[in-house]
Parts: sequence; C-alpha cells; structure tokens
Amino acid sequence: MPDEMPALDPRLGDYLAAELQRAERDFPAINARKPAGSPARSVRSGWLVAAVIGVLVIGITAGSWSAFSQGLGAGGSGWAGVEAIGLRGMPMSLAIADPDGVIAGRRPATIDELRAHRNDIEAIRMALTPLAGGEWLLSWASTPCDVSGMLTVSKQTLTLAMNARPPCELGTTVHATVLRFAPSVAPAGLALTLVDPPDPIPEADAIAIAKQAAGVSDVISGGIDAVLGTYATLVSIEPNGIRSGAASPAPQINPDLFVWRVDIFGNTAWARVFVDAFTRQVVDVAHHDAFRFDASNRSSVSVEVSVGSDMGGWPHGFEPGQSGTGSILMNNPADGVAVEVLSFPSCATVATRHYPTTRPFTLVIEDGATPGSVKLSTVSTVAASPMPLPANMLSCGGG
Amino acid sequence: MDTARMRDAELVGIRPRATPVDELYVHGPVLLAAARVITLDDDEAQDLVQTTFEIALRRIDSLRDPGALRAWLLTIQTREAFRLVRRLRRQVRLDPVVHEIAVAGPDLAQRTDIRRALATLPRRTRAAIALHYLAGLPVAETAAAMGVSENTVKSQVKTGLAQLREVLA
Repeated sequence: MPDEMPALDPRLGDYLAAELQRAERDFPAINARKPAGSPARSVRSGWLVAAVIGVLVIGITAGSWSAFSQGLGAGGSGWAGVEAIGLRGMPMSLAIADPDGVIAGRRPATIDELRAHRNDIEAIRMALTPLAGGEWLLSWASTPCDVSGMLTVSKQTLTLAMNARPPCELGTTVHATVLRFAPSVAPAGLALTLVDPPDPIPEADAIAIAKQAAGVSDVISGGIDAVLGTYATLVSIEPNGIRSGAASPAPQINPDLFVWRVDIFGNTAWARVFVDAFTRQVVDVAHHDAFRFDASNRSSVSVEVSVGSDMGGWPHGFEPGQSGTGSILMNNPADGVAVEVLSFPSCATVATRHYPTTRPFTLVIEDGATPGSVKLSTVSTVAASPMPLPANMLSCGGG
Repeated sequence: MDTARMRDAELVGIRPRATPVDELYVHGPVLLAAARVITLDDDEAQDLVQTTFEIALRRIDSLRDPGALRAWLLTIQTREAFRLVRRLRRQVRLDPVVHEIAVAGPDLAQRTDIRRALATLPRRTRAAIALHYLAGLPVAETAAAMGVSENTVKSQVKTGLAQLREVLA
C-alpha cells in the first residue's frame, strides 16, 4: 500500500479481505427489495431500500399487450380504465380516457424504445414518436413521486395530467407507453399537453393536519422527504410514556413506515411518520425532561441543525433567516445536548458543540470568519411561545 | 446483476447525463464491507449503505468526475457514519432481535478476536482503516472523505494498528 502507511497485521488483512468477500456475497441479496408486507429486518433499512428503489424503478415494464388493451377499440363508444405502469414498489397508475374511441391498442414500452427516445424527453418533457408497425411511443418526463395520472386522448388532443402528490425534490424520470391509434387519427397532429400536479399543501399545513388526525401531542421534526414528500416525526405523549401515533401503514413502502393521507379542501396532505425505536417503543417518560430550544439561522449559509441528547436526535433544516423551535427528551439532564451543524449543499459538518445546560436557549448560527463557515452561540432567552419549524427542502438524508 | 436491475438502470433518466445507476451499485459490496468495518454492526451497515445510495442519487449532479465515483460514495458514507443524529438514534434503538453473523470454519475464533479488537478503536480510526486498506483509497482521499488532514489519518491509523497489535497479542 502506498502513502507510507504502516503495514497491516496479517490477521487484520485477512479479516478485511473476508469482509469484502462477505459483502460481495451479501450485497445483491441485501439490496433486493423485500416482499411487500414482510417484516423489516431493520426499521430504517426497509424504508431506505424503498427510497432507493422508488428513485430507480418507476418506469415501464417490458411485456406483452395488456388485458386492458384488448378492450380498447377504435370507433367504439370510448373506454376508460386504469393501467399500472411501473416496476416493483411504486407502480404508476395511469387512467386512460378515450372518449372518441381513437386508441386502438396499448402496450408497455420496451427498454430499447425508451433508451432510443430518452433524449427527446430530456429536451421537451413529452413526445409522441413513431415506431415501426404503426405504433407510437408516448414518453414523458415526471418525477418518481408522480405515481398516478390521467391520460385523455381525443381526435385532436392528447393530455396527460398528473394527480396531486406531496412535494417532491427528486429529479426527472422518463416514463413511456406505446399506443396504436385508429386510422382516422393523425397522431403527428395531436396537440400534446403534460399537466403538472397541482401545488401540494405546504409542509407546515400537512404536519398540522397529520398531527390533528393522529391526535398526537407533539411533533419531533418535519421536513420534505425524497419519496413521499412532506413528513413529520410524531409522537403522542400519554400518561405512561411515548407511543407513535396510530396510522394506516403503507406496506408497499415499509411496514414500519406510516403514512397519513388526509383530504382537505379538495387536496390531499401526506405526512410520514418514522417509527423507529425512539417512537416505537413505549418509554417511561415520567423522569424524562423535554429540553426546548429555539434555533435561528442568521448566517448566509443554509444548514441542517442536529441536536442530540441521551434520548435521541432532532434534525431540521434552516435557510438563512429562518428560525424555529424544537424539543428533545433527555434521559439525564446533566448530560446536556450536543449540536451539530451541516452546511448545504455539501452536507459537511461546519460546527459542533456540546451544551451542558438544560435551560432553554436560542441557538444562534451566524457567519464565521471564512466564507461558508458558521459560528455558534447561544442566547439564554427563547420565544414566548414555540415557533413553527420552517418549511424548506433542506435535508442531508439519513438522520 | 439481474435483468430487472439492468432494466431499472436503463429506465432511469433522473437527470441528463446522470451517472448510470448500475455504476453506483457496482460499488455496493465495497461500501457494505467498509460500513461493516466502521460500524461493526450488520444492520447499521446496511442502513448506512442504503442511506449512502439515497443521498448519492439525490446529489448525483454534484459529482463532477465520474472517475471519482467510488471515492465520492465512500465520502458520503463515511460522513454519514459520523453523523451525530445517526449515532444517537442507533444508541436508543431497543432492538430485541439479536442478529448472528453466520461464520463457520477455523477462522471463527480469529474473526471474533479481530472484531473485538476493532471494537476497542474509535469509529473514526476504523473508518480510516476501512477506507485505506479495505477500499483502497489513497491517504489523501481517505483524509478528504473523513474531513481531516492526511497527517491526522496517518496518525489515527498508526495508533490504531498499534493498539490492535496489543489487544491481539
């Protein structure tokens, strides 16, 4: 090994080589998605697998003509149905409305077809491209969070409208399907329209709605998640301890990941609840103190602030100028709290500090001496009433 | 790599000129092995690798040099492994399930000894060892991944290996 590093003890060398072999053997199996509904081996690993797969796999399955397509016919009285498009995990449901009876058939796109035309989509977001045999490839760009939509085809127009969904920070994924049209239609002349999903409910509202729906009395943290959008980590504080709030599980994602879906004002709010041991286990809190703190980002740097105690961790993002109130349980108040600040977009740790005090304080983040750096200080006062946590897209992931 | 996974990769047009997902997964085994050495906990190591992929997919645009993908992933993973919140959450997890590592053969005792010896080292020292000796990162890249100087890495490794020798003696 170069770089003037000391030689390894042969036994350690053997151990590292064996670990590499073991990982080579284990990785494919570990990375494979668990069957829906199977118990999570590790609470968080399950959702993270889902998160990665959610990013990766929404696309179009190769395959034969679907049963639905057999029901499509030109010149009929129209047809509407729902077709699942996608691979494992998070399929995309596409409702197809064909009031003029212009769709003569449909099948999933193949990999090669998608590959051949992906560049078109990167430029224009939606395209209808002729294939051999009178087929047309309809491809469009949307996020992996767009898991359902309505395709309406008439003699002159083709409109794909994405359904409402939570906020989504993921990039574009290409989707496609193959259509055949009735002879009376000139596909090249169809006016194509891709309608983005309606604006989601603001994060703070979603959290509040979920909080109300679950009857929980405290919000540990909230944020914008990559896959499901707005989420909140919620607990209900009961006389005998802490429990996660009851909710409907979303087994297609992770049995340990709970999602509330609440309709309000014609929109839908989603709230995600991490059910890790911190909230899943019943913990006697009779002797635990909740440490309250305000955080105020007065710097020019976007940061994620993590506050940890001997009971758990609390992360939240703060854009410059944003403030908010957090709280965290402490097992032994004498242990104090540790603060870690990560900057964006690098997510590098820019400040760490341990505060032995258990008295509420305001953590002030200000610009440091060098560009991009920050310095921490505390003020012994806090806002008269807890401030809502700011809405932003800041997250260093994991947590 | 199975057919389904290859399809997945082909289907993803996350962003123009994005690194193919397959290329990320090529580095999965070394990430997992390094994570296991750093954490000495198979469950946490899996968490760590999956978190690393999640973060990598979200930040793939920030990767300027595709040739540096491996070091980039290891950097993400290492920094995630050091994160305060992650460590704290692991500490408070009350997992009643004991996960046994299936190890058989005459090396079992030695593996157990090595594992116990590694457990006496700070997590950062284990990370330096894993990044340099297991993942093969040069000292400079190991230091960059850990966010410390090259001298710090050398010092940590030297001290750590000496401690290991004492424990194993």
